[in-house]
Amino acid sequence: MVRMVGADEVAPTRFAWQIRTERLQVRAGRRLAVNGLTLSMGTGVHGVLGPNGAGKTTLIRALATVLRPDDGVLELLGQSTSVRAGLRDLRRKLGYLPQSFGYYPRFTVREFVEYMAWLKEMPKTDIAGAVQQAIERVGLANRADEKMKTLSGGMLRRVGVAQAIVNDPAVLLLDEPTVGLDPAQRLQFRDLLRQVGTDTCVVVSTHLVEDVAAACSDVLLVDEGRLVFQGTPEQLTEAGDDAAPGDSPTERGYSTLLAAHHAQNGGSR
Amino acid sequence: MRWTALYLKSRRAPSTLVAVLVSGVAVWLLTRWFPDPTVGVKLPPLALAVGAAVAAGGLAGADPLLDRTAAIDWRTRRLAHVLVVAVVVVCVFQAIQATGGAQVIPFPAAVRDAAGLAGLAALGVAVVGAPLAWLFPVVWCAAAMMTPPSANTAVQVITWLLQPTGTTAATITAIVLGLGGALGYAVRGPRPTA
Amino acid sequence: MNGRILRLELRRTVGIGIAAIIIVLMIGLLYFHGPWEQPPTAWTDQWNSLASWQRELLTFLWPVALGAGALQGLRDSRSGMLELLGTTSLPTRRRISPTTLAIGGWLAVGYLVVLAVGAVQVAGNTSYFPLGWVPIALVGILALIAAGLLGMGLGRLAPSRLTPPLVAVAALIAMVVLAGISPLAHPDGSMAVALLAPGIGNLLDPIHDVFTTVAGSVTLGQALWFAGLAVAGFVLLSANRPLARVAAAIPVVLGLVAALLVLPSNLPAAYARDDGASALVCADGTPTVCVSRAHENRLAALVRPARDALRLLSVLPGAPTSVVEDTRTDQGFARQPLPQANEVVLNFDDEDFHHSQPNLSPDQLRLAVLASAMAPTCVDANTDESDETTTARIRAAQAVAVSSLLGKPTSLPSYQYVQPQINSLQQGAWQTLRGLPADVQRARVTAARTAALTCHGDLLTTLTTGSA
Repeated sequence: MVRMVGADEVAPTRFAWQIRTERLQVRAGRRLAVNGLTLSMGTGVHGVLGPNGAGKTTLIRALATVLRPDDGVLELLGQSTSVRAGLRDLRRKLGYLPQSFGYYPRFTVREFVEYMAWLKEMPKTDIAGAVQQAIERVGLANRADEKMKTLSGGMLRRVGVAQAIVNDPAVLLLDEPTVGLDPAQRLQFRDLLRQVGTDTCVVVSTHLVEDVAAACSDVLLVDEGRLVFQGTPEQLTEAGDDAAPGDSPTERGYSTLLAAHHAQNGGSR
Repeated sequence: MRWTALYLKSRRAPSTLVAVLVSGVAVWLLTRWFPDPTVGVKLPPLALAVGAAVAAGGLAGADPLLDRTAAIDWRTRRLAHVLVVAVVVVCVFQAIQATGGAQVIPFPAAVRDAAGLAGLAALGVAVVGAPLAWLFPVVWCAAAMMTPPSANTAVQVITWLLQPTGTTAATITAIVLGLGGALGYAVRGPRPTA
Repeated sequence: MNGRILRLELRRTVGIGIAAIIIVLMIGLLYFHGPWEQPPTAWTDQWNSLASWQRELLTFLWPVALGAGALQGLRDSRSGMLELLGTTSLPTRRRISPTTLAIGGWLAVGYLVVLAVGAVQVAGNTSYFPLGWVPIALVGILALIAAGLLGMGLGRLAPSRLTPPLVAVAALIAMVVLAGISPLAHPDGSMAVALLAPGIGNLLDPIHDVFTTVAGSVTLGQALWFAGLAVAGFVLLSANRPLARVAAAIPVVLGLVAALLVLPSNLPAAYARDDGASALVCADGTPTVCVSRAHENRLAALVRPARDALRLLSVLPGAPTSVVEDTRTDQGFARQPLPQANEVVLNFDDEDFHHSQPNLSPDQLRLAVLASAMAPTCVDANTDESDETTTARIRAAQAVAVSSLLGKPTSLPSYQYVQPQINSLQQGAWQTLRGLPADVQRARVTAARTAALTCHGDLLTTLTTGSA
């Protein structure tokens, strides 16, 4: 496939990290769901772990430019999200799967992904090919021309992933992408994550620890809006205390770190 | 009791009731403000039609297909719901009339209109699904409003909403619509919409 | 604009369904005569009639289009797409363009299909082709598109499942109220506000002759008003902040003010006489037989039966010597003088001509001219039309007079529901009249004709007793 390469694509990267936050504060309603988070993420797959209500979704929504930070710094691709002028350019390079993924039931899979590609201002000539490729990558090629209302929950989730990756984003944000996927599909999905992660900054929010261990190059543990831990899956495993609850070393690492964080904060939970 | 409350909530009864009340009062105020006979006759049935049109959306749950899988007998429940819509619409209308101190439509005609309109709304839910069901009462009302009065039976059927109490053609139309709509809806259930 | 996305929205929006609803309801009401006591051909008599009758029906379909637009406007919130859409780069205005084009396009298609169905028939009914009807139809399309866009905007503004029914009923109420302040109810009041309705504004008394058209000021004023509403809908759809939504009021107010400045404030000014349609076209030779240009294609068939009828009438003292179509209009114009005794005035819309039915036989046409000669149109205006007995007596008198001229019992076409009454009245009177000598019969018929021309007395009594 031949396509035009824009000047911005060949321009040298002018940032060290695709995502960088500093003392980031974001509200979800009245609650400060992200409270002073400082982190940096580069190319690779970053798994965001944490208990329910830890602020994972709020963080992802802020990264997806849905929510405006209350305070602190949030830079995507070296550019602050509070500068409205650059937002449009930035959003072209975003891929996002929301936790509650809405869709148009009367659209077919292909139509929906194509529509999203158009919304992300992909070059006209690239759209058809990119749509087909995205649908194939999530394993829905045989259902591409069926209406979305006929799809099962797991398939819809995969359409959600397809629309997120269709524009070949520089930053891919996936909130609970594995919900509703059967074991085989989850394995396939992990492959996809590893593939995409080779040249993209992927942020995956999940509470399934084993997904993180299997597919992520980097793990972030979030609790009560704060960063508890950032490191490789191996480091997470190593942090595990054998006495901590959990069926796998990774789970034990997760529990240990969380317990330690709670202890530090005076056992507020 | 709790069951009923949950059912009503799943059918979004509270917001529907508020809408029925507010629009009823609004139309009634307009009627008072607009004593012109050509308009005055037409507005009160529209107050009833607002109720039926708004309540139509509540005749299906968020997911009709999910509801179908439930084990309980939906038929009697659906029938009861249509009846409740008619009764509530009439009661709200009567309450507004009583508070306002003027009987714009006699009670029997109000009952006839509400029953027919509720049936039309139910028919709409069964045929086109809840989001579009309001079309049925609204379109019929619009046709009735546009038709000049006449002693012709066909005209009386079309303008049944506007006929005085005791007009046979109007009463029969209302009964057919009310019963037909309610039964059709009870048996077929809401048309699934995505 | 992306063509593929536009095609996608054309297939997947509610537009196609709404177009279908418009076509079915409009054709249902127009084609099958509907509840209006109008001749079925009033719609397709002439190009101006075609355009303005369809406009009348907008009173009924405008609220439906508004509600359907609102349903479309709810799509993003109903399907939970708002969050995802918020993270995409394409500006909202460009995002909604295909959707609005699809909805507007389908609404226009629905309107145009109905127009085309009528146009095919008009083309067969008249050879007169004015261009004045085009803006009337275009404003109708604009009004319908404005309803769709405004509905979508309102649906986005208030994303609740209650919005579509509420806006639809509210619009319907507005239609009823606007019709209520029409000049029929308040002959002296200002009717500019009533003309804001998408119908011509005179709901209860639509244009029912081919010689009247809508005044240019009405068309212009309504175009401004609906353009304002359409822009407001687009602003509501593309606005992302509360302040920008408030800005939607600006086009509404501008459109309203401009419209009220342009729209005429009294009834006569809202209509214009279609001089082209009402100009007379006369057949070669004598006696004179003339029809309007709108009905020019009926002239050839009419000439011979009309001259036959004049010959039959010539036995009467002061007999008419020409046949001329009545091109008076009864809408908003001062009545013209009553017809002269020396001409027969025809009205193709009345029952003599089977309500404008084309292709009548020569015998039917001759009968129609004779009946027209016996009672000019002033009768209709001076009697209460709902009074069936009066109508039946006039009709019976005409039939008896024609019978006398032809020398045999003859019945005239009438409304079915009064036909039995007419028959019995006619039989009684005919029995009385046929027994009289020919010259007495002629005197009675002449007396009845004079009475009819001056709109005095009961024609049937004149025929049977010789005095009014």
